[in-house]
Amino acid sequence: MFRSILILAAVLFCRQAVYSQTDQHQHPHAASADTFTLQELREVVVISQRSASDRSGKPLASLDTYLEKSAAVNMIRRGSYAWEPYLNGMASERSVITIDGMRIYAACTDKMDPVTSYVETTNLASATVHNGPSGSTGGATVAGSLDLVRKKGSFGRGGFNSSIFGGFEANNRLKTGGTGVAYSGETFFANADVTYRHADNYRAGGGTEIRNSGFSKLNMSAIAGYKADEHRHLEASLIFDRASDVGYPALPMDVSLAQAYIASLEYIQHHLSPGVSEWKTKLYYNNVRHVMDDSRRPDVPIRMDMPGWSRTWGFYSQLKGSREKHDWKASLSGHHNHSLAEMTMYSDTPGWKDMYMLTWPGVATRYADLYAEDSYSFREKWKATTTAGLAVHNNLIDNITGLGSLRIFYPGLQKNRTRLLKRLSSALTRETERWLLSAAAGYGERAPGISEGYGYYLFNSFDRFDYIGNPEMRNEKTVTYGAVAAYRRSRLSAKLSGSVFQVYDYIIGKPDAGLSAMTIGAAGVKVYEQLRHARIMTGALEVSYQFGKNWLWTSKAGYRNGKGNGVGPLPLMQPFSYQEALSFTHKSFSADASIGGALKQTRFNPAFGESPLPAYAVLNLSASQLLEFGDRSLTLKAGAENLLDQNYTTFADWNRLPRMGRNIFMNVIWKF
Amino acid sequence: MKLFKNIICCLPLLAVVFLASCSKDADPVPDEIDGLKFVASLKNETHMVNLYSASGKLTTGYNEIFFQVRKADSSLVVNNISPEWAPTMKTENMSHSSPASAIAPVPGTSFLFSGFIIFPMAGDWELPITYHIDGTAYTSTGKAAVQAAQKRILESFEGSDGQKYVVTMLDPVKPVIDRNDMTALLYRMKSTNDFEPVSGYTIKIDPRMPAMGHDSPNNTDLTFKDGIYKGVVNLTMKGSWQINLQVANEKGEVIKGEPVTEANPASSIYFEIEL
Ligand SMILES: [Cu+2]
Repeated sequence: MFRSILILAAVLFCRQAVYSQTDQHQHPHAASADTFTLQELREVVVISQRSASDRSGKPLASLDTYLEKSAAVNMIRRGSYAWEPYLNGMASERSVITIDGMRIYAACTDKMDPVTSYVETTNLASATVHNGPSGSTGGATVAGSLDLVRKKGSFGRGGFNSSIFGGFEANNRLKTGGTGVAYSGETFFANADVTYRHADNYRAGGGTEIRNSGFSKLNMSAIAGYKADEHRHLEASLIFDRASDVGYPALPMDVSLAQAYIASLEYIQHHLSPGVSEWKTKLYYNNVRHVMDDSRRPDVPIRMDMPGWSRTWGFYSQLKGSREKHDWKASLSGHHNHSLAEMTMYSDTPGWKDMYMLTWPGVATRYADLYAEDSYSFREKWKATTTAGLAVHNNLIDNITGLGSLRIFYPGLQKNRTRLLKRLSSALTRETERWLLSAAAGYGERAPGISEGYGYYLFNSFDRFDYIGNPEMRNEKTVTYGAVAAYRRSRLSAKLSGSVFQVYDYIIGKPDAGLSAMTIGAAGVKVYEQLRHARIMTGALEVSYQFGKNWLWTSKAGYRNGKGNGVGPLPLMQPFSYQEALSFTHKSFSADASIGGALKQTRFNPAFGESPLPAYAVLNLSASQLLEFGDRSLTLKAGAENLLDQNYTTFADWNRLPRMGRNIFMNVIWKF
Repeated sequence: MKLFKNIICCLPLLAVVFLASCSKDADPVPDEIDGLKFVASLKNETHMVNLYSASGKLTTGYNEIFFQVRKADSSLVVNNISPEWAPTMKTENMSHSSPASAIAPVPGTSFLFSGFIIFPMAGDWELPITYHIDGTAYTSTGKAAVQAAQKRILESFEGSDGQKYVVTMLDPVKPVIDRNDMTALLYRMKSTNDFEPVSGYTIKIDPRMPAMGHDSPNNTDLTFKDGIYKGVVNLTMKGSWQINLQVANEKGEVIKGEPVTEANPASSIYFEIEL
């Protein structure tokens, strides 16, 4: 695990990893390394159920809660489940999210099923974030890329390792339970796990029940590896994830089923030649089905069903090597996706037929990508990293009804569109005993997402507009600059980072007064258009200080600011927010108190449904104990989140949905 | 048992023989009415006129009608007999007529005629057809039942100019989610028995989905070209649509129909389309 992080870390300054599993009982901020590791360049949040030493948060928390701790990621929340990751303040279309390098396209037109919703923390090792176009093996991107790295065993040690875990949270009666088994042998390893979660409605601060906020989720995952000889092995992997009866209180509809099968087969070869250390080739397939319905909503103007389907197959083949002072990587990848979504509205007037349309008109995306990366170390303390990628992107509308729908808006529309997407980045890093300084610049392009390009009357419940895609848009382009300064002395560590995204042809919906809304009660229709220019700035500061032997204080702050030509502030931007934590550790006991909050949000955009937000602060307490019995162990963690039962809502809450009130939780993990 | 089996085996053979013998006795050129269905017969002492249409039915609105004239010996009359028709419907104290085209021989046939009639209302219509054979005028007559169209595809109205009009939609026959070519015919009533086609007007359209209240964008109003009003109607989804109409004269003055507003959910004249 640790080694793989270091390999990945050799890439660029602007990367962050969020771990969901560590066997090290060491808090990263408490690490007593004398020199910097490139880990300092990342934001690290230990989140594992395997670890008792996590001082903030719950080991059995959802992936969403883990990702939210990364300075690069905001999680846009529409309910208790399946939050949408915003990288660097930008919506999920602007980033590439992969699971072990596999591309997956969500099947929901309303962003209810981001890729991150189809995995569980139980089967993840870490999440790696690249900011901007730098280092994205996954494909063309503007905001960055997020790869969810799965947990897997290794060959050799032999034997079984198992765990059983369970959790309960009082606020929404969330019950989490599951088990994991790992086997490791000389030529064979296997991991398998099952996690089930069930939650009822939650209560906001003050006790108000938030209706339609419960969910159920079952996740099963397995990986097996077979070693053919010393340098070659095969890995097969399968994930099945099924969420049902998921409530989205911030939206007008819920989800009766969100289901994904994610399968892959990978061939890995090490030490091909003195200069080539690794060759990986993977084939993968995934199938996502998403069914929205409103049967649990008592009064809706019209009943509707909105199912969606997405299928992807793809491959990548990646070489890694080093030569003198160069570390390099090259990757060829490709995928084929087909996405389709439809909407049926049930007429309650006799004689008027039920209504039907395609909200995603049957769009195939064919994508091929060539990527290369070189990292050159010179004069001991310096490193220069260059990455470049070139992709061919093609969209084909293959459904005749879908094509007809869009031709109403774009009479000359061709069903085929091919684009070239380029990306390039370079970074310079200087690393000394106490300081790590890095500066980077990058250029990236992306194609419009399926909703942006081809969406058909997709209702946005925040600004209350129907959105129409625009298949005639140009590529969106970004020029990105970033810098990091990190400092470490025996007890003190600090990291300041910032980045600027200059985005050209920025894709955003703008009202078209000539069009009338399809959705009953909608304010109008917005059509995706391109702003000549938009700018997004982000900044983050992290400081930690160790007092004596047992105490650690950590402080984090972050801020984002976005502005678009002619539209003013960009929506869903993080105001100045902070997290102060004090933890106490003694042997295998730890206790933690933290305050998280944000200042008043004064930059907001009413055109996107936003309103000003007051400042808030929330207090959390927790304690954990690890009990060891030979090679077995029991981890206990209990705590209270939002102890003072504040009623609050943040910039990331869709439709200003209030967050959870006081929540007492208990997590238990038994490893044997 | 064995005998029974033999009969079964022979049945298809028998059928073939039977069919072959039938076709020998039939008209020498029966394929002229291939694909058409019988609607009704008109008669006089010497002739019988068989009416056909694509569906075998007549409905309110536009109907393309085919016919052949047959003598008593059942031989067909060659289509050079300049027929004319005068569809009428008699109610207790009124007599209505309907807009109709001239009748023409169907190109490439020897016996078949075609034309269209726009029936403004359902019921039993008299359909006298007058034709001339060797200088003698004959009239065959009879009744044909006209059914109400399932959807509203015809409007009769009195314009603000005091004239009576009939407007009917022809296309789209098979509407799809897409841009659909839309065609219509507009007639003015000159007298109770005489309609004349109106050219140069504009038929403005505003498609609405009444269950939801929305319209569709980028439609093209119908203008007159080559004897018919042509435009484009965009249907953004499946369901029941109302195509609200406003009829404007050559000067652009609206003589019938109102714009759809919040207070006025539909025009007083509209067509219905369902898909
Ligand atoms: Cu959905």
